[in-house]
Amino acid sequence: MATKPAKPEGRVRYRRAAVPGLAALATTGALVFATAQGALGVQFAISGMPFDVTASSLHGEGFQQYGGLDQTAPGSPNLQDENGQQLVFVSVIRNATIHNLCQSVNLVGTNLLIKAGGGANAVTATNLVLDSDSLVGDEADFNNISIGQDASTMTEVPSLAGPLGVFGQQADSVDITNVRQHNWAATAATFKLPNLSMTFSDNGC
Amino acid sequence: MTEHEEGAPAATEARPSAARRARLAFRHWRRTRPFWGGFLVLAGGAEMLSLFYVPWKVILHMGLYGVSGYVVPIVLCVLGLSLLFDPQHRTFYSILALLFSIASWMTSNLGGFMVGMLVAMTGASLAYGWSDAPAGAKEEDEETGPESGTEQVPTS
Repeated sequence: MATKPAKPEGRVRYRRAAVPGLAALATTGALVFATAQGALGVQFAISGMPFDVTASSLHGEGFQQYGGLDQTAPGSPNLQDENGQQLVFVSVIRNATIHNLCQSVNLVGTNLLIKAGGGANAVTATNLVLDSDSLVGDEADFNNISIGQDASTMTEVPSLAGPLGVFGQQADSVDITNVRQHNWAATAATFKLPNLSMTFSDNGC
Repeated sequence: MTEHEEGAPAATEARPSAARRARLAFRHWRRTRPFWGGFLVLAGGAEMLSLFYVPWKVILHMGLYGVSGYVVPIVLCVLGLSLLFDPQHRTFYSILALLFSIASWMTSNLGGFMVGMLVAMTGASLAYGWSDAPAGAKEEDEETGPESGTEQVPTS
């Protein structure tokens, strides 16, 4: 009993811990507020789990689309029946404006629901890349479309051209109403999400 | 005597079993560093990373901005490990971890849909508040070790 441990043991001083904790919480509150106001852009990069996206309208400036094959990480439990592969089409939009965005991810037993862009403030995203296996819309208008172009020669979003020798199409602009997408991956350089709300729900979008 | 964990008054045990020795050694290791702080920072970073384990090929054509979605959680994991294995610099690591967990809101799926962000923040705060200096007047930490040798188990 008399021997001292080689190193002194310590413990958490909660009063000291509260200082950065409260500062961080305050900052978080400010960030969430700024995001919900649409003042702050956030970045999205989600994949590996399928998720649904719906929107009442989608307007895109600079649109290109091509086929692709998504591969889950080696050993991933998802998609074992398909050898971890999922045929998708990749939609790239340079500047997207989305009204009434709803995104839901099915976690086991519940859905995480993210809504944004209701009312007058639309969601905006730059360099949006979506890997989808289904895309349904009421009406789609393409402006200046070229279909059948090799994906590697696309010019609408030059940094995000597709692979060589793959069928693709591109358009100067696109408008789709009542979009419903089933996605496997989505990334966006910046995402502005006014009127953000995150909830858990039994039902998806 | 604040620390009997479960029954078994330690002083009466002449020869602790190997399992018990390991448990005590681990406990000592745990208490000589901001264990829960570092662990939570690590867990928060891992949660964010788990959200995009991934078709890399799609990510590959993202630029620097896209990469930051990975970098922030990876740095958080590294900071969590640093807190565990280099506790002397915990103030530095914990403040960095705090800043990176805040940054993750913007870079990594709203901080792993807030979960990883809050977990990492909690961990960073706990690590910041952790101290191994004697607590003022109270110094009632008595290691239970039945043999003096038990405490000296090298922990590295």
